[in-house]
Formats: sequence, C-alpha cells, structure tokens
Amino acid sequence: MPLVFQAQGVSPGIAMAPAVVLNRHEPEDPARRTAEPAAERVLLASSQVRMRSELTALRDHTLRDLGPIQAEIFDAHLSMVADPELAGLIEAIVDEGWDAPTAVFRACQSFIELLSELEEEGQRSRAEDLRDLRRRWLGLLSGKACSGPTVGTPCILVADDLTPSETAGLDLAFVKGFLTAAGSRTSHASILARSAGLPAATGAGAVLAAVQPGQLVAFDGRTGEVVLDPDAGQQARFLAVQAAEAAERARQKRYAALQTVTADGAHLDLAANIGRVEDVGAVLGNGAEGVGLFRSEFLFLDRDRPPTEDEQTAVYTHVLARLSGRPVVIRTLDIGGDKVLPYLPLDPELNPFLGVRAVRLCLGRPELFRTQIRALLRSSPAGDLRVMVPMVALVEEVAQVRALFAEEAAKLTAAGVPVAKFQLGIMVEIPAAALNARALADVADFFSLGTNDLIQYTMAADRMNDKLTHLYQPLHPSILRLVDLTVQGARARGRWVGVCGEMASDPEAALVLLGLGVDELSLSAAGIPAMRELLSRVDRSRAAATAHLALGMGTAAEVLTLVRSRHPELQKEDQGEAP
Amino acid sequence: MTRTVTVLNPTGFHARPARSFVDTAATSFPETKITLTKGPKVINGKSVLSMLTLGAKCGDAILIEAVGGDEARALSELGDLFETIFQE
Repeated sequence: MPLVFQAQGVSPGIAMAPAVVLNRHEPEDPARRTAEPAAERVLLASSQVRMRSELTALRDHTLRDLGPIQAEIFDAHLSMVADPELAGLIEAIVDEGWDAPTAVFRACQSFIELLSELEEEGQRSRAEDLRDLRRRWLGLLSGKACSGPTVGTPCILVADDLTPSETAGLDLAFVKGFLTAAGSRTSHASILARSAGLPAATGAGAVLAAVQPGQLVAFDGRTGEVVLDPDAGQQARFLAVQAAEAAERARQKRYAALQTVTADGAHLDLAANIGRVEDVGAVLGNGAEGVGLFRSEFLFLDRDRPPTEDEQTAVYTHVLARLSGRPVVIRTLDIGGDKVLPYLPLDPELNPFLGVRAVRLCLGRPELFRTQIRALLRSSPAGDLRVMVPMVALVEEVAQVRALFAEEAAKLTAAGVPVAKFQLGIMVEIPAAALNARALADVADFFSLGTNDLIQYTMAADRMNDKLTHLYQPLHPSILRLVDLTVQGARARGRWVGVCGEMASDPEAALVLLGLGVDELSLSAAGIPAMRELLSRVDRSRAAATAHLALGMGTAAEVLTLVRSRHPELQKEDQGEAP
Repeated sequence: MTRTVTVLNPTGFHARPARSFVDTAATSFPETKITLTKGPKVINGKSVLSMLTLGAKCGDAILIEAVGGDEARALSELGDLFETIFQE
C-alpha cells in the first residue's frame, strides 16, 4: 500500500530510491580501560592531526561552495580540536588508565554539560557543535570513515536532521536526495542541497516515523510530496515529472552557457539579483553575466547587531572572487521605510516611504555607513566592484557619498591596505533623479533603474496598498519616458544604464527596455536562461522602433497592444529544439 | 600583572570574537599564561571552550591576568582586543 505524505520541499527535483534511515544514536561512553596509556597517547596525537586536516578540508570545501558564513562552523570545530583545556582533560583521563575513545567521550561530555547550561536563546548551540565534533572524532578513532553516513548504493537518506559535517560528507554519487524531520529552507543541509542540485525536503517527521530501511521512497523536492512504496502509476508520474524537469534544465542550460545576443547581433548583459552569498551558486549555474543587484541589507537582517567590517569584507570579497571578474553591483544599505532593524531604532514617520530611508539614513548615521564603506573598499581588489547608492534625489547626495568613500580610501591606503578602482553609481528610483539624469551622470559612474519604487513614486501609489494595484503600471508611458530620460542622460556622459526592478523580468517590459537602450537587465538568476532565449529572438532595432512609438502613446494598455502586435516572437513557444 | 575589562556587547560573549581572542593569545604570546576571572570562575584564556563556559554578559567585569613572557604587552594588546571585539 503506498503511503502519501506532505513535507516541505526545500530543493527542487525528483528522487526515487530505497531509503537509508540515519539513526544517529548518540554514542555511549565506551568505558574501556587500557594497560598502555603511552600507546593511547600516540593514537590521540595522530587522531588530532587527522581531525585537523579533515576539518580544514571541509572548511575550504564549504568556503568555496557556500561562502564564509557557512564555513565558519568548521573554524569553530578546528578551534575546539586545538583547545588546550579539552586536550588537557583528555590526557588526564588517559593518565587514569582509560583508552583514547573513552577519554575523548568523557572530556567532551563535561564541556557539553557546561555549555548546555549556558545556551542562549536564538544562538547556534555550541554544545551541539561539540557533539558533532565528538561524533566525528570517535568515528575516526574507531577506524570508520567518519565523514558522512556511509552508503554504497543509490538511496534516499531519511534522518531526523543532518549536521553540517554530515552534510559536507555526503557521497553525492549515491545519495539521490534527503528527507529530514527538522531543518528549513535556510538550514545548512538545504542550502547545500540546492547548490548541488540534490532534491530535498524537510518537515518529514511523519515519513521518518513510518519508513522502513530499504523501502522504496519517491518525493518531489519542489512540491514536498513524499510517497512510500509508490505503485506503478505513481512511479510513472514521478518519472515523467523528472524527465520533463531534466528536459527543461537541459534546454535552459544551453542558454546558461551562451552570451546574451539579440537576433540582430546586439549584446546586452543579463545579470542576477542576489541577497545572500548562498545565491551565488545559482548566479553562476544560470550563466549570469554579472550581479546586477546585491542587496547588502540582507547581511543586516535577522540578527541582533550590525555585521562587523571584517564580516562584511569577507562576504563582499567572496562574491567578487566567485564572479571572477564579472561585474558585481553592491547596493549600499537600503533600510528605513518598510525595512527596519531591531538594533537600529528609527523615529516613527507618517510616510516612511517618503521618509528617512536608504542613503538619507546612511548619511545621518555615518558610523554605520563608514563601516560598510570600508568593507566595500577593502573588498575592491577582489573583482569588478560597482557600488550603487539607493534613493538618490540630488547631485549633492552623490557628492557627499563620494567624499566619504574618498576619506575612507585615503585612510586605508595610508594604513597600507590595498584599494582598487571601482565604479560608484546610483539607483534611479525617484522621478527627480530620472528628470535630472544628465546632471547626475556627471557625478555617478552608472545608473540602475529601480523600477518598483520608480513606479510607486511616479504614480504616488503605495505598492503595499492592495486597493491601488491598478496604478502599478510598468508599461505606462510616463514610466517609459522617465526611463528614456535616464538613458539619454547617461548616454550624454558615456555612462551605462541597468534595470534591477521587476520590469527586467517581464517579457514585454524587457523588450521595451531593450528598445529604449538599456545596457543591462538584472533579474532573479533562475529567470536568466529563459530571458536570454527570448531576447535571442528579438531584433534590437525593431524593439527600438517599438519603444519610440510607445513613448508617444497615452496609456499602458495601448503600449501593451503595440508591443504584442509588433512582436509575435514574444508569444512563440520554444518546444525544446536546439537554439 | 592584571587588567580589568568590561563586556560591552549587549548580547554577551560570542563564539567568533572569543575565537579571535584565543587565537591572538596563543599565537602572539606563547610564553605567557593568560587567565580570565569572572566572579568565582577562573579560566584559561587560550581555551575557546572555557571562554564560552564563562557565561559573560553585557556589563560584566572580567579580570585578565598575564604571567610570564612579555606580560605588559600581552595585557595591553589582549585587553584592547577584548574591548574592541566585545563591544560591537
């Protein structure tokens, strides 16, 4: 009898294989005596060296794949392995005549107990870290491979939870997917699954309770549907979805590997919007020609204090290095309005969207802003850095920001810290900036149109107000004219123009933006291959003529009709033939 | 020699700054024994695990003691480091 469960899909894809149930019973105190403490000490010393080299490898591996924040846990493990008090305690236990595993178990246990008493709410449990470390250490001492669960045939791993070190040690040749009871989209294991393209679902406690080792399991990491003992019909359905997804991926992959070129040979950049280091894998996998918007405020959310200069530097440097010379546009802190931080109390405002937000807030909190500026400057040698300042209305604001960058750069240079050349541009999202683009182009190295806010400010319609959604009209001629003014202003000074709002991912709007002459569209990484395919069917010169006609129209509906009638290629469904 | 420092971080002791303190103590002052005292607890300043078990909170005064090697320089560097890393 098939059993159907609903879990939480955290990494898309179909997996079907026999279950391996990971019973991670907490190791027990071996309580073994030894007659030769000297031999145990040699064993301990060599296990410590091997622990260090294994953990260093895991750290470097994770640093490369997932970034500094995820890798930090292995630095914590490394410092615990080298801890003199832990080592002293282990030795003392061996001196009392106990063997190495017993000593490791008991020494860790006493620290686990001390740490458990002190655990603070909301912090990663250091006692858990030490348990994870102890499991690895005891495994190594017992001579078993101690990285991940050992599996030798294709399987789906079902577990209560996967620790970071288990996740990093998974043998992806055999593990076809995993189901865990605990965890979330943002847990270490889920992030790794997505970056490795491994189907995964969490919230599978009921599956864990019901599953037998070796039982056939099928699940969909997108929808979270799990079936134990699927019947022939269910198996066929899962396999059909798997085949369709594989075909779609293969088709898109071809576009991920290409450059963005229109039917008439014009080039433009398709860049990705990201918020976290973990998004970089998808940026590279989908063949983005850069990062068009890195929302740095994500580093500041979900925590109880602002990230330090070193932390920010590590993150920016990592992203720049991973993009290997492709441009990375990092937006400086954009908070205020609807985005607030617990550790940064703001005065209540009647109109937060028209209030002290983004650059206005940063210029009023120089200590917060200077920390970010120093981090950006320190990361500048790692790649093609382009700093973007949000919510600029005035030329003077850009001058003030430039002065801060210049001051901090001078200080760093004086201290011997290398600072490389970078671009300093602005986000055009206030109509005043679009209308005054020519003058702003004198002080800004580039423009990126933040169309979401540009539309809300142009229409004077709060985009959070669901009674006003009809006023949110990306194709309205007023918006298109502001885009046109921005492009004209940039052209006059040889600056480039990007678009990083929702408009960049809408087919009709993207076509008009192409026609208006923008140089870059930035959208979610997953949307890039499809957009690249679409643009490959469009003539830029014809799009330019369409855009010119659109500028003379009176309503968004007329523009949409115009675009659709002049560009039947937008509707054409590609049925999977080679590009 | 001793020096008293204060934990200024509103959320207390964090693992990462504790690690940077221990790393500096161990690599820059291998000859010097460093101990931290908070109330009745006395711990090895070169042990991350012990530092985490100190349970230091914002406003707590911690006594740093350096014995052996360049005690004065160790206290000045480690005391300054402590105040910087635990005040963010």
